[in-house]
Amino acid sequence: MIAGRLFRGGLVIALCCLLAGCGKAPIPSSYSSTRFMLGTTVTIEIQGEVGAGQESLKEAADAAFERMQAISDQVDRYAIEEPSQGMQLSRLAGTGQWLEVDADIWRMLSQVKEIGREEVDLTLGPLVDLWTKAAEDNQLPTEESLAQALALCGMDQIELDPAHQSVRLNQTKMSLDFGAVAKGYALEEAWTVLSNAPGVVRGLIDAGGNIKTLGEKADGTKWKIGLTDPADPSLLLGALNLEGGQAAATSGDYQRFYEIQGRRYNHIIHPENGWPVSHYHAVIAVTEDGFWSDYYSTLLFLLAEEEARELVEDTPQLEAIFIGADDHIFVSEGIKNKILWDLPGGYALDPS
Amino acid sequence: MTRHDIFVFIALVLLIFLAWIGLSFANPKAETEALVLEVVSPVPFEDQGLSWTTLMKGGQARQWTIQGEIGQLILSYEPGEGLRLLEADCPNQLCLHMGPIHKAGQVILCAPNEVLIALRQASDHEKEGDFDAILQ
Repeated sequence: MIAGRLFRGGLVIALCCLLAGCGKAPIPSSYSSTRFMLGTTVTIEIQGEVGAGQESLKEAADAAFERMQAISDQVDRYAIEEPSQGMQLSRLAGTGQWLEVDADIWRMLSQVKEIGREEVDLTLGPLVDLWTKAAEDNQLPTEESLAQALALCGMDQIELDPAHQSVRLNQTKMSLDFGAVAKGYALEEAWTVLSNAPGVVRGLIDAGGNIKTLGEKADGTKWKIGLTDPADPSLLLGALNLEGGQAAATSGDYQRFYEIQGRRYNHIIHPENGWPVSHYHAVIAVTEDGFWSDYYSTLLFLLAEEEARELVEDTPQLEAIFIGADDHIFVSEGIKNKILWDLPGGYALDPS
Repeated sequence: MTRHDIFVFIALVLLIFLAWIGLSFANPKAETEALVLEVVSPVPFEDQGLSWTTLMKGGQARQWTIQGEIGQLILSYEPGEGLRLLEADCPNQLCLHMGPIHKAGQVILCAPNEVLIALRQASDHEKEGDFDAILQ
């Protein structure tokens, strides 16, 4: 009799479990949205505390997008309705006039200038325009035109006046291009907005090759980031585990390029000779800051292997993955045990 | 154990079995290997998610007008070649030189118009489901 009651009770509980999903924790509210800005798609995915309203998450995401859009507007090289600050600086180039710039432009220019690496050059506008025209004409740029464009480039041609937060460019026809750092800078600023938003506990911002995580995942596992195969971007090479608050950025030769006479030239140009570089298919930089991940992914992409390895070793909190043009892959020491590789044939992982 | 208990037990087993069968047939894995067209644009694209196989089987050239942020773009499909932009209302016209695309993962981007045209494996979404994000 008692056994029969227990059996019936068990059946009822089993049925309830089956129908109601017994044992699952309450699901926290979440919000996801994608917008187009900074020349790419930006996705924000966030979760709030259990019981937090969707509306507050949407407000937080909207504020983060708004912050990114404001930065995008200031660095836009082709703004039509109102010239961006980057365009205004270019128009005043060579006139000797100073322009008081907003805090975002100031921080990007002063931080890049302060670190003093001439490879990451925010004055490459004339070279970018030259290669764009070359792709339109399907004709490689001449050495003469490259020399003319190169003469208009160089971070030493930017003058900064910290007392008035003002900037001027030394030569006429100079043109700023913030492509090396703008996405990373905007990513970091958006992350700060989300971090300070009430009710947001975790999330991820994905800005086309630049990613930053916020907080720890609900199930306690690491953020799992897929690594795109440069040879076939529909495939993945493996998974990179990120901690909450880490940022990763990719510079690669497979998404953006100039196609001239049937050959592809990647969009990252070396300021020393004006030609696209070809040491790697991709470089992924991981730091605690979106701006510096973006900066270092560009810088490392421009450096040959030995110098790139040394730079990563000598720079605290910088880790990197290099996918060489010869398909050999090497990874900095601090990140080796955070990658689960699933390499297709043709790639060789450097054991050192 | 009464007859009623046995009946409930059999009903429960049957319910679980039917649920399992249903889930197995609902698994779309077999249908997700196709290549699809995805367009991110300010105005929704009429043929979002169009199957590449459908395009190829048609064997005919096609054109679409995409409304961008500052103007219109004409997207073209040519059999044996792929997708490319024929016209774009944008200042630098860089996007006109980003095609043709015909493989999964390839993209055409028109930044001033805020338009991204991509070919993706339908199964990408399944693949991405294992990850929190994909570093492109």
